Amino acid sequence: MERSLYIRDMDEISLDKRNKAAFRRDFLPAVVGYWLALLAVTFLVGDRIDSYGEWVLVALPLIPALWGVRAFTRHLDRVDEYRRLLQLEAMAVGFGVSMVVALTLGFVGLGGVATRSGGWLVVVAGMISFKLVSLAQERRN
Amino acid sequence: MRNRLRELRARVGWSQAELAERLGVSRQTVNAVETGRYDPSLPLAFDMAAVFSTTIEEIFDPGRNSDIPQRR
Repeated sequence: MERSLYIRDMDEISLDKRNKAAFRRDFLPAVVGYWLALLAVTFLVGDRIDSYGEWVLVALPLIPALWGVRAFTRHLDRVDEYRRLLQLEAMAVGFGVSMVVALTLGFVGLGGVATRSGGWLVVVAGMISFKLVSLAQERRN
Repeated sequence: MRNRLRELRARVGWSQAELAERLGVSRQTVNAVETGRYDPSLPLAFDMAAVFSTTIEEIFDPGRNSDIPQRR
């Protein structure tokens, strides 16, 4: 009885769960900050940048983005070597997909076709591919 | 690389989670090593040997496909 309780308790607070919880705590301010900055830019800047103040507003999402990078770096420091390898593999795929999409958009631009929200495509394609690889790794383990 | 981690763990009656906790790694890492999907780093291999009070050679076997020539 005591042994099974010990195993269950240990499982409840396993290293992986503690790391995930710590990452969520670290990453949450970045997500909240990003949405706040996005709302501020959407409603205060609009379609066109007219002043230096608006340039500052447009650059505002950089702060939560850098915070997110910091949270992810700390996460990589916390996890063990195998989890770190998996995360880096997923990141590599995400980076590769982002590069392919960016390159494609670049060539499309050279062809004279303007893509107004091309930057978003790069981000979304990179994030989706990163997440898909992460999910596949979770299923494998 | 082949290993006897599962066998050694079964001998002392630990779950993967228990061994993972003792090694300071995740259960997934122990599972990946046991199933041969991941070869641990040297420090982790030493930790595994220490946990079972044995040597790395007793746990890991590079197998016949090892490219390293044997010293005479």
